[in-house]
This record gives sequence, structure tokens and C-alpha cells, in this order.
Amino acid sequence: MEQTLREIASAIGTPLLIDNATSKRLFGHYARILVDMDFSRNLFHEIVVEREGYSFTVKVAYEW
Amino acid sequence: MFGWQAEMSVPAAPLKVARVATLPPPVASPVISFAQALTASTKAASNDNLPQPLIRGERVSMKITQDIYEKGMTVCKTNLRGRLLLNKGDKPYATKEIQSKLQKLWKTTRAWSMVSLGRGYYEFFFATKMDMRSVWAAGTVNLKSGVLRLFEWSKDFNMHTQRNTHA
Repeated sequence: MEQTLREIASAIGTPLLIDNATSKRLFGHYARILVDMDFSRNLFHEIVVEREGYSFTVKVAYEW
Repeated sequence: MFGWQAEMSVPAAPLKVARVATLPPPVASPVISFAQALTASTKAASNDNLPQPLIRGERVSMKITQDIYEKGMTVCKTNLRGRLLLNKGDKPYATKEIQSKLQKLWKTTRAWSMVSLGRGYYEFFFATKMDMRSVWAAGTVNLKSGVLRLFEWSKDFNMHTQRNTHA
């Protein structure tokens, strides 16, 4: 499951670390992941996640 | 030694550089980011084989790898979901309060955990299918006050699009 999260995060940068609350699913509402980003590129506030026969949008909040 | 002498003694170096240039090119090392290099002690998962995102105008989309997704689905087969129904005027519960109440009621062989999904929905994680089944078989839990109705885990559940029935 963490790998899928890394895949989703890689839409906006290079995934580095997933925090404890996220990997152990201690908090249901958010997933938090450390991502290395290139700020010369577009900053996206949503990621469309697709798989076979389904897609949905996740909102992205940046902390810095 | 005078300053100019020190400057004059430098020219030995370029010869060395010339020799280095004849060496075979170094074997390509895996590309790691600056942050990965800093956190070398923390085992970071590999970023190889990540799918490429697709940028369509202002939107970015990512197609997740199907078999990894399906593996994740298998893990969820031992989960249950629940909806907490309170009567008007009942004091709302904190997730921890519900957890300690259920801890006393549910006799599972291994530890379980839960998270709040919002809107009165909760997800329960059991270690084994047997634990999940025994809890599910026990059925709706009376929390005095409020009841917790359990239902099967299903994919693509969205607590925000659930119809709230007051039957």
C-alpha cells in the first residue's frame, strides 16, 4: 500500500519518506509524504489517481 | 616561499588531470536525491519503476500499478467498517473512547486498531480473517449510548457520498 502512495506522490516529485502516522494508518483522513520537488515546474494542487476502470482526485496540501 | 613562487609551482596538477581523463567512464551509480543522501541511515524505498505522471494542461494524473494496488486490496480483506449512530443529544465520542469500549467487548486473538474516517464512519483493522469474522458475527454493538453498525469492507468507499438513512 505504501508503494501505491509513493506512486501517487511521484506525480508531483520524488517521494522520499512516509511518516509513521501514515504508514501505520493511525489517522484516517490524510496521507503525509516527504517529496523532493522541482520548483521550476508547475505546482499541482490536485492529483488525478487512475487505475483500471476507476479514477478519483486527491487534494494536495503543501507544508514548507 | 614568495607568493609568485607558490603560483609557479602549481602546474604539476594538469598532468594528473590528463591521466584521469584516459580512465574508463565510471559505472553509472543510481541517481539519488540530495535528501536521500542526507538520510542514508533511514532505509528509503526504491524509486525505480515508478510510473510516469501524465500532465494534461493544468491537471496531473497518475496511473497506479494494478498488481500493487491489488496486493493492497488483499490486506484490506481483514478490515471491517462501522457507522456510529447516536441519538440527538448524545455526547459525541472520541475515537479513543470507542476503542476502549470495544476493547472490552471484542475477544480477538490478536490486537486490532481503528481509525476515524469522518462522518461517524470508522475503519477497523484486524490481524486475521478469523478475528474479523468473529467480530462481524457478533454484529451491531450497543455502546450505551449509541450503536455501532458494522459492515463489510468494500473498495472505493466514500463517506461523503453515503446516503444517511434514518430508518
